[in-house]
Amino acid sequence: MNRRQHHAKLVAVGLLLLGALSACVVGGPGYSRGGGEVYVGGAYESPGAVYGGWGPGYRVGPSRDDHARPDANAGRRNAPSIPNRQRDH
Amino acid sequence: MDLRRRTTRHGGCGSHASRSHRAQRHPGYLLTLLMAATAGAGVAAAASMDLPPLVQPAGTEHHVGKLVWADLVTPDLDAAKRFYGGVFGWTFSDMANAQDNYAVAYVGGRPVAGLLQRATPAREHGHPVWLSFLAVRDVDATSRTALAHGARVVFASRSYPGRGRQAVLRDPAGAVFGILASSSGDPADVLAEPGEWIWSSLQVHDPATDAGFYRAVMGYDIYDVPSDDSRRHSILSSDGFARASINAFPDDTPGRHPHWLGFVRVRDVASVASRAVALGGQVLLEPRPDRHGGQLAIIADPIGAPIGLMEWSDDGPANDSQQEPR
Repeated sequence: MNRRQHHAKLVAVGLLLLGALSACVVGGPGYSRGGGEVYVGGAYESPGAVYGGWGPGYRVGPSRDDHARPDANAGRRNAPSIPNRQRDH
Repeated sequence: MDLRRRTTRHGGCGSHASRSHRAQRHPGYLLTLLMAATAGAGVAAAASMDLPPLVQPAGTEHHVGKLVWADLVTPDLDAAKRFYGGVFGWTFSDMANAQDNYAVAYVGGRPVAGLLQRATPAREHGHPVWLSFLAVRDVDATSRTALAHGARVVFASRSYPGRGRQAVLRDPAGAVFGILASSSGDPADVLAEPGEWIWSSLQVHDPATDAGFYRAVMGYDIYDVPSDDSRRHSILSSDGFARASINAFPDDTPGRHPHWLGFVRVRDVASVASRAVALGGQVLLEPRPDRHGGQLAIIADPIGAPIGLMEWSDDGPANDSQQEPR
C-alpha cells in the first residue's frame, strides 16, 4: 500500500469513526455539553418523535393507601407509596 | 485527578480498552480517533464544572432508584429561569466558572435541577426534554450491569467535584436516563416540598420487558397496579417506597418514543398549569385525577420541554412508620 492509499484509508476510517461517534453522542435523544468540563446538560427528543402517549387510561402515580388496605387488590402484592414523612425543619 | 483517563474507561459506543490496544499497535488509529473525538465532542476540556452537592451538609443516606436530579438544556436561559421561577418558585444560582451559561435551581435552599443554555444544534430537530438522574451507589458498576442487559452508554461515567459521578444511559427500549452517585449522599426520603421532584414515570411500548431491565439494573421491586386500560402498568420501588412507574403507551402509534418524565409536586395543579400558560408554556395533558386522588397534569415550557405536575396533599395515610430513612 503506497503512502497515498494509506492516507486515504486513514481519512476513510476517520470519517467512519466520526459518523459512529456522532450517532452515539447526539443521535436520537441528543446531549448538550457545557461548562469547561464536558457536562451533560440535558437531552433532545428524537427528531420526528411524538412525545406523549398520555391516553385516557394514563395513571402514573402510586396510590396513597395501597399498603394500608392489604385486601385492596386481591391476588396482587400491594405497591408501597411515596415517602410521606415531613422534612425536619 | 485524571478525569479523562478515568472517565473514558466505559467510553461511549465502544470499548476504550480495545481502542487503546489498537492505538498502540497502529499510531494512525490514534490520529483518526483524535479527529473523531474532537469533532464529535465539539468542546475542549478546561476547568471542571463546579456543581453544588446534592445534600448540604453531606449525609450518608443513599436511596438507589430515587429521582434526585434533572437537567434541561435550553436555548434561552433567562427565559427558562423566568418560566420555572414563576411556575414553581424556583430560585437560581448561576455557575460562575462555566463556559456555557448554567444555572442551578433551588427550592428552600436545596438544589433540585440544572438549566444549561445551549443553542439547539442544527442537526437536532427535536425539542429539548428534561433529563432525569436516578440515584445509584456505583455509577461504573451500574453502567456495566446496564450494558449487560442491553442498554447503551450515551455519555460515559464522569466525576464532578462536589457532585459525584454520573453517566447517561439509554435503556433497551430507547428511553434515556441518567445515573448519579452523589458524593454527599442522597436527599432524605421525606415528602417532597412543593417545587421538588415527587415522581417519575417511564412511558414505553412493552412495560414488562422494561420492568425487567430496571429491576436488574437498579434493583427495583416491581408491583403491577390496576389500570383503566388493558395494558400493564407497574410501580418501581426501593427501600420500601414507590419511586417511579412504568406505563404502556395506550396504542402503538408510530413515532412515540419511550421516555422518562419527571413530576414536580405542586399545591394546585390547575392554578400552576394556568400560570404556566400565562408565562408562555402550554398544557399538554389537562389536569385529571390520578390514583392517589390528587390532580396531575403535564405542561411544556415555552421551548416545548414537557414536565409533569402532581398534587400531593400533606394529610395522607401515615406510611411514615413504614421505614425510617437509612
